[in-house]
Amino acid sequence: MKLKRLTTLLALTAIWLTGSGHVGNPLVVQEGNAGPYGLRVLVRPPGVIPGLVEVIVRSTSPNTVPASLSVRTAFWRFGLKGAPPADTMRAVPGEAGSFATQVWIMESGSYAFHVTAAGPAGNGTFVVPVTSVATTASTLPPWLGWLLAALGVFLVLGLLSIVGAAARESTVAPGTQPALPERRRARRAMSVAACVVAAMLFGGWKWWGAVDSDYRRGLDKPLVVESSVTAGDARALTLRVTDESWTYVDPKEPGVRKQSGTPLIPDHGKLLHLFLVEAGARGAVAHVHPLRTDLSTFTTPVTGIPAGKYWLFAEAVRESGYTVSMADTVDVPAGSSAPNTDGDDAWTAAPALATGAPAALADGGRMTIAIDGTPVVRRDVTIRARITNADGSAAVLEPWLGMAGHAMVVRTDGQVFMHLHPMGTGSMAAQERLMRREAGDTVNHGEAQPTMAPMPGHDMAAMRATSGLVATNGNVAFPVAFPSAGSYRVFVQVRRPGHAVETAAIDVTVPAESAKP
Amino acid sequence: MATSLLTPATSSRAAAPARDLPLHLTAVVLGATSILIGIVWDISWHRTIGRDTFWTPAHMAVYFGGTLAGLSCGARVLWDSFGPGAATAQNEGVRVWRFFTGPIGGWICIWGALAMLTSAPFDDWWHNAYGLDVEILSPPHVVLLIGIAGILVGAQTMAAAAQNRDGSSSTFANVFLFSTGVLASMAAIAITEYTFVQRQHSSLFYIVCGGVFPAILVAGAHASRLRWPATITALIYMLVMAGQVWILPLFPGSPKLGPIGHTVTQMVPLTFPILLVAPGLAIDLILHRTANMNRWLVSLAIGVAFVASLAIAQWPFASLQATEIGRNAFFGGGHGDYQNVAEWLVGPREFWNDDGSLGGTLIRMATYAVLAATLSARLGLARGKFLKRVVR
Repeated sequence: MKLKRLTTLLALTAIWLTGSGHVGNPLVVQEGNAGPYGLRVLVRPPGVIPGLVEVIVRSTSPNTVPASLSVRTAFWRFGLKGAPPADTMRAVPGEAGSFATQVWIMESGSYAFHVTAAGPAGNGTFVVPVTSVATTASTLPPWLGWLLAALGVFLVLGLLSIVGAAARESTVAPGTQPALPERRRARRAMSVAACVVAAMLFGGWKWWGAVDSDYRRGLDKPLVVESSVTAGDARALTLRVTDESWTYVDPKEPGVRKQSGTPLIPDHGKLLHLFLVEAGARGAVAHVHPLRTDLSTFTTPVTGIPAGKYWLFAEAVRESGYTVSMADTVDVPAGSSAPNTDGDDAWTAAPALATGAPAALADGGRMTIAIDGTPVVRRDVTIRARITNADGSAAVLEPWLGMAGHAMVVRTDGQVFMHLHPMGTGSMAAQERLMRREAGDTVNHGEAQPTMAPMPGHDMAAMRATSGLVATNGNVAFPVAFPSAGSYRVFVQVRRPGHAVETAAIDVTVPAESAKP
Repeated sequence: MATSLLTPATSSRAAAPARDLPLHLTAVVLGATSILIGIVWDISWHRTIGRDTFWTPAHMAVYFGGTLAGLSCGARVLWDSFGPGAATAQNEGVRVWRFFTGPIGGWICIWGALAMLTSAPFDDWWHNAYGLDVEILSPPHVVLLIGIAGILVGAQTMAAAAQNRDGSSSTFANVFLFSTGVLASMAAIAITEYTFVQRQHSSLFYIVCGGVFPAILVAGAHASRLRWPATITALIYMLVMAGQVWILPLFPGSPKLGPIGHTVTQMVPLTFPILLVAPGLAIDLILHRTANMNRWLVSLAIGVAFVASLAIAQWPFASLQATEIGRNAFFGGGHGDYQNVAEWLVGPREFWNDDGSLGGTLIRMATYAVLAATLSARLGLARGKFLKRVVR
């Protein structure tokens, strides 16, 4: 029993020791326009901070390819005013329209990557929100461990020999041989040196251990939450954020708990996007939007999914553009409930189909999901869905939560979860916030900026127009990058006029191959 | 003043001929100096520009120094062990691992160079595992610093042996003190994080300085043939560190990393030196009068005098530097890392004090700092005794 509990705990820990914003996925893929140029930006954070981030930009407008591209990294608190000079991107050999560079990020927190494109068609800038967190805990590779150990042993033996030689011979007049007292002195000196070296090695070892455990404590992980679902006719989920970083007590107002960090802002009109995925990603999924009842508590009705064990993933965006994620497992008992009245919640128990096989929708319509090419670890690909009506005509996809479609990607071991939009993995609210931050550069943290001032090169209206709000041709596409090899289930959700939100799913296997730019 | 300071105490001025430096001693002293310049440059680089590669000139100066010292001593060892004069050389050097002979200072330099080499893959992995560290003291940096210390100590030991073999040479006596000054400067850099002006009214500053400087000043002073060696060593350190405060900002430099807290257009120097000359003078005066006393008593006297003289000199000097005056070009307090926001670099500075009260500070200075300085001085006397006698 104890062993089972331990195994469960380890499994949960494995789930929680994951990435940022999107659970287990530090990669950012974002599409948009920099002036006249359509771009897709792939950001590969290093997993440690400070560290070098790979940035890869691909042109999505074949007729209007920029001649040159550059990236500036603006940390939220300082904005562009405190950003280092732009890094110029170089063309990727053999991949027309692709550019790459590496940029340093020095801090944890919310960054805006300003990608500036220039060419004969004009200039423009595209802002990509990047939540910078440490995600990777490295261990010493065995070969390096052995090398360092060998060098260490050599250095220690060398040091003791040199100390012995110094005590034995270095003060003896040239031409004279050291006598017994010198030899004894050498042995004493070597013994003392051995003790000092041992103490230093022990101290160094403890120091390294302390640095390592501090670092691991600081690794990004989903917020600690407690979740439960009540049974019966009013089946409801309560999520309580119990993570100690969530609130703090202001020393000036003892006893009053306040929200840490910048406030949460609505993303696609909702403060919290919560997903229940049947454990093992076997089919049932709910995409709901709990209401906040106090600083740390969110509640929502749960309907439309069968009883069982579920993985819970939730996402929220802070005013700084920082994306927070939560993860838990929860037992959903039998029952049902009236859904939230805004009609924005969605659920399904549909099984997944093979890639390219059409899923039947409510009135005889169909949704076909496919992936462009073979997915490669850490490389961007496109998930495409085509939705047709019963008569075979292309469906009109109306904006749902401000988008023509939403997609969820979950690895079947529950360690990776991504919530995607046609513009990519990033949050649109974060993108807007980071652009506002530059417009109101005089405010320290960018709070309370009432209106958006126009910003040269940053075309918000164009961003909105091209970021997949609505689709009239029945097609919706999601750029994504898989962080690791494995078996994934991809859910796509759309809403046709007069219909509830409809969901279909496919299974995708990502082979273990290293990524190219 | 300088002439009298540099005059050997045990020989008359007339009998102080200059000697040509042996090639390997020149190489290690040059290497040690190059490392010191490289380290100062590198820290300034990280405060100003941020982004670096393996090939920055500052790194090159450090590697050049390490390589020069390590290879020249390695060559000397091979020559002494297997060269045409090996039979004689073996009676003049020290033997390590049976077959190899060389000067003890050379051996320490070789060991230091190898330790520096070892730190490279360790540091590289450290950055990949925990991120680029922006602090001076991390485990791989300490391995590097120990390696550097090896080269500096090796240079000092080699200079001491040269001085002791040729007691009439002012050149060797001066080179010995110069190498001691380089060692003191490097030690001061290693503890920079504890010696900011803002810390100079807290006991921690006195404890750390007390633990580090007496060992170096006393060892050098005990072994030197000059009259005011600890004073001169302290002056060398102060000149090096004040020099970099005045020279580095003459060169342009701007950040290549962010976030950038304020506009930086010139190379940012390290902090202004502490007035180490006061405890240096105190150490010299004590050593002049206590030649035959119990070493623990001498150490205690030095421990008390070190903390007292440093406090008398540095406490008001820190108060002065904490005012707007400390921000001027002479003291360099107006410079800050590129990450510092502009507001931090203007106006008076507040002292950081973890002791709770002035009384707490004074009690800790009188106990912990004096204890640290006493133990450090005792270590310095022991090493000084060795340096005074080393001839190989």
